[in-house]
Amino acid sequence: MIISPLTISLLVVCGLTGLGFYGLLVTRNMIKLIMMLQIIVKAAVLGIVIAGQGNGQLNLSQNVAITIIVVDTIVAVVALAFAIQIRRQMGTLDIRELASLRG
Amino acid sequence: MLEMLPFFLIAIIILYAAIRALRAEGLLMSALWLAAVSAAIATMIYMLSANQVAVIELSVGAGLVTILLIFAIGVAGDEPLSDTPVVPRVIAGFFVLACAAIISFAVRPFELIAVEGGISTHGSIFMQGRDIDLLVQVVVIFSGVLGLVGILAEARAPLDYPVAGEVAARRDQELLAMEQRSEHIPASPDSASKETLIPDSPAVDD
Amino acid sequence: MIAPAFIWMIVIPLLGAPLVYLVGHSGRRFWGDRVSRYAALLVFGATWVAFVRAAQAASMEPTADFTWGGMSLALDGISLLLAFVALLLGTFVASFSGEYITGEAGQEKFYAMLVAIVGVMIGLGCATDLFNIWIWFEAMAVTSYLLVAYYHTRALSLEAGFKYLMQSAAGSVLVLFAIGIVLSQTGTLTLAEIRSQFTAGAPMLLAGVLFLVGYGVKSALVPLHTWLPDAHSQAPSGISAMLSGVVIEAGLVALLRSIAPIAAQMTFWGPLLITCGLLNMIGGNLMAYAQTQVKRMLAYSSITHVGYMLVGLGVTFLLRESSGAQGGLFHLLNHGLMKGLAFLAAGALLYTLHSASGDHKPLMIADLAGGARRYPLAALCLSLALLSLAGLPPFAGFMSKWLIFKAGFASGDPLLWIVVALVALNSVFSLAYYAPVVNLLYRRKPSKVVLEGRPLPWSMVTPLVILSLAIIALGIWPDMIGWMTHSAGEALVAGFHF
Repeated sequence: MIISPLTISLLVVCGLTGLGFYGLLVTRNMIKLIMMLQIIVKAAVLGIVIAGQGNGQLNLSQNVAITIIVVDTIVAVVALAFAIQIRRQMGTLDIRELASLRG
Repeated sequence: MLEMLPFFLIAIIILYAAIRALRAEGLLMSALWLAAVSAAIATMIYMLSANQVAVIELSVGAGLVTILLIFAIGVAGDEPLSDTPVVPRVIAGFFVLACAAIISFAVRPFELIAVEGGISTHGSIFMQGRDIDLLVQVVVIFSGVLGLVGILAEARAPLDYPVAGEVAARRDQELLAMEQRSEHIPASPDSASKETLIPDSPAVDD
Repeated sequence: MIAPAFIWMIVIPLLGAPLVYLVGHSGRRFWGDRVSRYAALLVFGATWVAFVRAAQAASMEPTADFTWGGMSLALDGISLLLAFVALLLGTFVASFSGEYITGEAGQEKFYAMLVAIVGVMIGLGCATDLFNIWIWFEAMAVTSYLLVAYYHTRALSLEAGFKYLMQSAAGSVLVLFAIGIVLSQTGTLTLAEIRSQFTAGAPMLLAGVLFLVGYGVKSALVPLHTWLPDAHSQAPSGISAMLSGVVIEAGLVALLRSIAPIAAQMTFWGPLLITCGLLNMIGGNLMAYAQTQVKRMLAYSSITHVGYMLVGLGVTFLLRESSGAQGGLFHLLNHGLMKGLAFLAAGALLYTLHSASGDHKPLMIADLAGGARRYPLAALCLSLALLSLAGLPPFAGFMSKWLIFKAGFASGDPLLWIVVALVALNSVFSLAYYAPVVNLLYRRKPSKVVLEGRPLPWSMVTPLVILSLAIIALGIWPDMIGWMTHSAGEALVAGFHF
């Protein structure tokens, strides 16, 4: 294994993704869930940049990464709107309270 | 080896901040640590010479998203939930580790990337060659904003006969104001007359 | 440069959506809430014109493409089929929803999003670039969140919407990782170029699996389906029809397009897809059987039907000839019509029995008892849809399942025979939950809920009747639509470039 900037960055991607998914599984607070999702998205952005850099396609990967940042910000905004509205209607941010739909 | 040092440092900062974001007690602290993750990632992206992405990540990821999160926390309020997690921690950790093992097996000696060590630096033109992506982004933003407005909208009565409805609403308000005034002026209105006043008012808007 | 006809199919709804919103928003002061519905129908009408022209062009030249600034959109059989289903359901849902959401606030947003989601799905079918597929897909997802949580003051629909959003967003991040791997391995994102740059190996395999899991969340592959029954049962019925009839299928199309270049080099994708299909069928059937609410039952049955499509498509991935995919894609079209009809008919009954009198209760299966005596047409349409979903002979559902059976049997592979036998058994088993509903509808003694129900408005019944006629017609003359499914199947095979 060669230690290079790219491999170090790749380890960061793996670590962040693992942390993010772990967070998604254990977190109960809705807003915190959204933060965990953001962490995974940031890892994905970094991954795309690494992929482009390693392949000499930096231009392509930059454009892709910018689009991802913008789109996932919009997703986070809609998710936050959901969290606020759920807090208003049900008085809680606990994901476990959202269990009336079953079966 | 020495030129790797900044990368190591940034990597450690990113992971440390991410762990703090996960483990922070309050939502606000979590949001701030998330901003730190974002800023550190922006630095790393900059060092990988993807300057435009770094700028956007810093301004949107670290700036805008943090502001939105803090705003949302302000509106929704913090709620300490330190009880048992949704999925038991051990199971979640094991699951994630298993996934990581599979992934690292697939990309085993990091042959994912043709590592030459060096980092290419060449300029690029903003969104060059990705015009359709840019247009679909506009669609996403439109839907997202409409979704935000739609989800947060206060419940309001629909207007089937709109002009008449508005007139009725205005008349209602005026009547309510008159009612309040009439409540204030007589010094001792007995409770019975109040009760007769209130049921009258909804009948007006028919 | 002159844009080909199919571009207008995408541009008109996408430009029309903000217009519908503006017209609805400013016009409701003068003409009331119904103005946004008429505006939406007008936009759909204009899109139909573009569709007919695109179909005419496609009958002469099967593929058309449009390049702009280094990226291109292309029309082939699959995109045409997806566009047809999306547009058809969109039109019916818009004309159905008028009475259904009367009295709700924010109708202009509902119709604007409905128009936008149709445009986005047509665009998704035409994308030729791995990342472009992702962004169309994400646009579709963002558009559907509001539609699912349209009743944004009810706790249950917010719950369904949030679950849907989180699962769908987590899935789409996985797709991003897959795109990263493909980019690092091949240096390109254009589907046609990936195929030529391809080197088989563990990373590409991982990319394929990530695509399967990521898009699989949206197309409800079995362990990842948990959002679906909630979202489909809590959305307004028109939107349930839309989600079930085309949105999950659009996820399937995105999946197919993304893994086709990878599957071209690896043979095991066929068996993998067939296994997923079998899991979906069995899981969906067992869960649907246990339901007591009509809309949840229909939602689980969508999972089963995705399974049938996957088996058909998997046969094509395995044998590399188009017969299985023709069956699978024909089933995609039929499922759009049948499930659309079933959800709209259930929605009409839900409206008259519950919503119109102001309660938000779900429609239970037991509520339907004796429904045919008061609502003969709606009950007939619901029964037709259910029988067609079960795959009984004179209806459309039978024809497409038959094509899938035929493709499996023609292979001569004994393992595939077992698969086909399982498909047939599942199809028979599904009668176990469809037939009691039909039986209940035609019972003599009406239930209390039916007796208290309101009369059914004509604007709701008309789309139901037209869709039922279409299902019968497709069951008797499947060749009517054969040219479209044939070219779609060929397009999928062409996606491999053997």
